[in-house]
Amino acid sequence: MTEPLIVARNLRKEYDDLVAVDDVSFEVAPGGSLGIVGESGSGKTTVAKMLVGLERPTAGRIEIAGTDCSVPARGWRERSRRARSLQIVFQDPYSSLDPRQSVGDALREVLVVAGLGRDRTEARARELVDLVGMPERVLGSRPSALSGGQRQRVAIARALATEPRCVILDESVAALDVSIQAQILNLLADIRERTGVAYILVSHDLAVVRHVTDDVIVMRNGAIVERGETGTVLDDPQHPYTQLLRESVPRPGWVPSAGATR
Amino acid sequence: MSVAQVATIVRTRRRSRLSHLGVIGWLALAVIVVFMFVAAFGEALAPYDPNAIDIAYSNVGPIPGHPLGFDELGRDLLSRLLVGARSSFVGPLALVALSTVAGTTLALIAAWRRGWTDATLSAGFDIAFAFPGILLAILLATLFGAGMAVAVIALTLAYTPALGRLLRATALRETGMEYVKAFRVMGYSDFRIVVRHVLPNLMPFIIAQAIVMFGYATLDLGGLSFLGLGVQPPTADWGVMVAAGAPALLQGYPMQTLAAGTCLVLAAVAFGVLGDRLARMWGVE
Repeated sequence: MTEPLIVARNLRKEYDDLVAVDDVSFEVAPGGSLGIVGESGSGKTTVAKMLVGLERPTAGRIEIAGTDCSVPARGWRERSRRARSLQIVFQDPYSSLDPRQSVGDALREVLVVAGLGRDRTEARARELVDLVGMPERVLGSRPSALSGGQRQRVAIARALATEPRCVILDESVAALDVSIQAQILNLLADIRERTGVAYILVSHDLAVVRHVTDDVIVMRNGAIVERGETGTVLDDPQHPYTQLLRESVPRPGWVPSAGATR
Repeated sequence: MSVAQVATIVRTRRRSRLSHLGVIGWLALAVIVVFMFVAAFGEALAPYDPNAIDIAYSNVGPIPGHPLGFDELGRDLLSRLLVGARSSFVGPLALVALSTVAGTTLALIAAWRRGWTDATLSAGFDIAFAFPGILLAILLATLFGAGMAVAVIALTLAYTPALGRLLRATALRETGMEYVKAFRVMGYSDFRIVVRHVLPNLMPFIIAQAIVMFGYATLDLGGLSFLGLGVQPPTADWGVMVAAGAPALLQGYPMQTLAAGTCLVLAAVAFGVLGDRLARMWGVE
């Protein structure tokens, strides 16, 4: 068994009286893919924020590539090291890009901050738009000229720019049309195959989780209620909450009230 | 429609053309351009020496060659009005520049640091905001003597928290955007995020606010000069001229007060309207 890339141990996050995340532990292997499933308010996004250092865990430990990342980074060296191991793609493609910055400038800035020489950034920026299946001319476009799906591709390209070992996809396809969702999911699967990047997919959408992940944890009220291989958990859920989540997915013959009552 | 989508629509609207200023907006802009031109070249434009006294012409009305007539000391009114534009606008310019820089800096620090820094600065804004600028100016003038510099400093202390409060709220919204979080995860320094990304996105708001503020500044500093706490005679200045013409009002000669007062009000209204139109055009009301 190889050394896990990301280890979360007994993570806990409290906001005043509210316990948002309670005793959450998991591991992600290099090139692995973990789904974090749960409804709104289950704490799954808080877990993602703690992993990337946007929130400080109240208790618990986060290790990324063997180093302790439980507290927010101090100093640019540490920040840039973490930036190269873990990145995140947010849910909302409309606010996750600086509206004043062209796609090319956005990508070049990440590369320059990451310490890539200016002579190499241009080639790498072209490589990146190509990786996410966009034509090179979008390098000159402002986000306002792009559709939601295109923006999300840009956000993915930006997250991949520094060749992180893992990318967190925080509801990254939830704001997109279903057909665009499918394109982006295929793109993500394709990128994983080509680059060996690991994913942590945070989602409430079981179909999306099934499409992208190998393993899954199911969260409710801040705690993990079920975990295992994605296929097993989703086909044969053991915990009543997971069964409920599954029942709530609309399908032929589905009656709204059946899933809504507990 | 999500909040973010609304924000995006507002953002795209920012890029709209100047034609969206409307007739009133263009009119205001034209007035401002004329005033600024006069402020820059007033001395060259003035037909006579604005300080040449001729008591024989004291409060004489318009005559050929002197379209606005003379003031109480027989100085050419039009010349004084043209030359006075500069001192009437230099003060407001300094005031707006100082308070915009100070207010923006403090608001960005509050919005970026949040927590107790924000709480402290916000409380400071609220306390300072509660002091009327004019009263503060009178206080400082009695302590340090009357003059333009003292008046500008006093009003800067009053204007800074006004802008700071407004901008803090907008900056809080901007720093909560996901692109800011993404940049933090990318390892960008705070300085880079705030100065190269957040600040440029706030510029439309800041510019519109500064222009509106310029209108108020013209009136407030004119008012202080009127009270004798700003520009000192014999320097030609619209606020000073309004005051100097006041005794003549009772003698039935309103020309000086009327001319200078009209210029002040016109400038204040023009800046107010333009700022308002720009804010609406950029969607940053």
